[in-house]
Amino acid sequence: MDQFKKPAKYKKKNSLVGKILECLLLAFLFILFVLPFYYMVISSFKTTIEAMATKPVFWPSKWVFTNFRDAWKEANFSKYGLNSIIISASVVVTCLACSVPAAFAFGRLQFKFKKPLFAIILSDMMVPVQCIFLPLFLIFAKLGILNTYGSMILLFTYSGSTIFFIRNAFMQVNNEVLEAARLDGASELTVMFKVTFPMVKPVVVTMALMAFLRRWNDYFWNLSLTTNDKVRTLPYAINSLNNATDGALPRWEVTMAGATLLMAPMLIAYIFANKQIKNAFVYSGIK
Amino acid sequence: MAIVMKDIKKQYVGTTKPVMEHFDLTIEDGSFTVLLGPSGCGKTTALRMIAGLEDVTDGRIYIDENDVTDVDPGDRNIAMVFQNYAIYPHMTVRGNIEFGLKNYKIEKEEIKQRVDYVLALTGLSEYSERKPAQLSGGQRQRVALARAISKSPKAFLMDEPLSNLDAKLRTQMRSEMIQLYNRLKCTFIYVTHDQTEAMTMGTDIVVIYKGVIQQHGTPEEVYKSPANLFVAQFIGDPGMNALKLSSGGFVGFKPREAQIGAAEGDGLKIKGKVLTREYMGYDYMITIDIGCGNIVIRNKQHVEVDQELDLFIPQTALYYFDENQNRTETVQTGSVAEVFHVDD
Repeated sequence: MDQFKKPAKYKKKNSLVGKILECLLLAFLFILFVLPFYYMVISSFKTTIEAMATKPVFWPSKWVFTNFRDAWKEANFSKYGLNSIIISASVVVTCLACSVPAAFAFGRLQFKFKKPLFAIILSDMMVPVQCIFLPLFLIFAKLGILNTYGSMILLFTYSGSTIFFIRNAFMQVNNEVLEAARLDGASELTVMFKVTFPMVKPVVVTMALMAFLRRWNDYFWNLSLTTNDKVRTLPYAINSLNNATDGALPRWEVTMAGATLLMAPMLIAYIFANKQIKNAFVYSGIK
Repeated sequence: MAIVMKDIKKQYVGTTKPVMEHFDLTIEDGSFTVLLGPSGCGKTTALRMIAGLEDVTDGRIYIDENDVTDVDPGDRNIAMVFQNYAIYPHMTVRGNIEFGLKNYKIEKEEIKQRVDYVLALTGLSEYSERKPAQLSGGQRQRVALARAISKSPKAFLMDEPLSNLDAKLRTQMRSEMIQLYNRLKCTFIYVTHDQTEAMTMGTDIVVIYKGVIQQHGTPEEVYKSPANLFVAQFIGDPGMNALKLSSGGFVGFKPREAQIGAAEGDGLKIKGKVLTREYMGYDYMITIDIGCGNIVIRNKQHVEVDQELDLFIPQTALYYFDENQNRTETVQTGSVAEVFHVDD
């Protein structure tokens, strides 16, 4: 009966110390990630003095709501917000229109040079954007499309990571379902859109949200591929709130209010789509 | 609709050996043909080639005398039922059945009529608006069947459609499929490794082993007159006992033909010791060590483990096989060298 003896180094699975350590670590990480957001939101309600105070103020003594009005006005939200919406929404449409068929082809079809082509697509995820912005700037300048919506949308139409994640989701669809559809007289396009697409929809929705989010928050390309304000978006506008004019001090509370306004739509979208996003990450094998 | 596979060769890319070569098969119009064999024998590959889901490396496939070798699966006028049902999870039962009909641009009114008919036929009328996730395994398989029937195909191809069901449901669905075949009277091609399914459902059985057709005949033919040792041992519950003789030939007998006790007359007499006794309800399945290996018999007589037994198999119940394991009428003689199993 020796084999049934408890191992010498047997450890209780749920020891109290382990649980406490686990909770402490989680609490630490929670504070680490939530604190900056909290401080941004709370600062947007502060007075200038409290916002500039060297000693951090975690709860305003007086709640100032006009910061939001000032941010909206000073950052010209109506102009730059519209730019943000046009570019982000268009990028979602064009990016998915290219990525979904490409992902289906890489995930479910056989064709020549599939592996090397996919390797090239993956390489996009490895190249830092700083390496390619200058060549891109020069190309766009040569094409004469700098400072146009087209250039900002074209730039983000292709996304290696979006293709990669949607391809993973397509690959998880049972092959017999595709074969059944082909036997049901479906063309490859019908197989893709009517049979497999609804099955990978959570992943596509998540990728759409992420594509929107990337463009909505983008600051780098906003500046590096434009030479004037025509098609610049909200992150640029909010940053410009920092640039004090006439020797005045920057109003941090207004900048924070602008940042809060910028973040609000995405936060709301995340709260509503939270479950779907989590499912999508599990489904597409992103763990 | 007759289906003919002519001189088929199939070799997968990146492999050195073909899974089948010079494969010829004719499936008669209106037959319920079962492709039977162990895992990896090529039966599913053959079915998938008929369906057009698998390319043939060489050879031609004809459906109703039309060469369909290069025709798309959807244009072969066949329907297939898969092992994992392969129904569309995001569509309702009705949507699953309608999908194919819409692809063939059938008129709305006719689609409705056909769907209602097959739903009633398969007992799914009350589940028509449910999604597959809300159905049991048996109901899902019925959806797959209903989808196949709705297309009014010339042939039904079935790839182990019952293997995912539990034993009780399998028996029930088996009976339903036989009724369905009797009602539709069109060609059924059914792939299975379960010889009970093959024997009970098929009008024709094609036994395949290592990509080669071992025998093609009615269930009675393959059971009573096996063409070779593989068929003899694969068919039956359990299959035939085979004894290798010193001459190189084989002598075989079915487990139910062995009589317990010493007997006079022409036949095979063996002595052995009981190893195991399994109660099967109607009789016992008894494994006996005869010195040169183990044999299995089926007998109603109660025996004890370790009991010494005399067995007698009458001459008329003996089957003979030559050194190439093919059936022969010539009596094979010689002393028993060993108990033989084809897969050994």
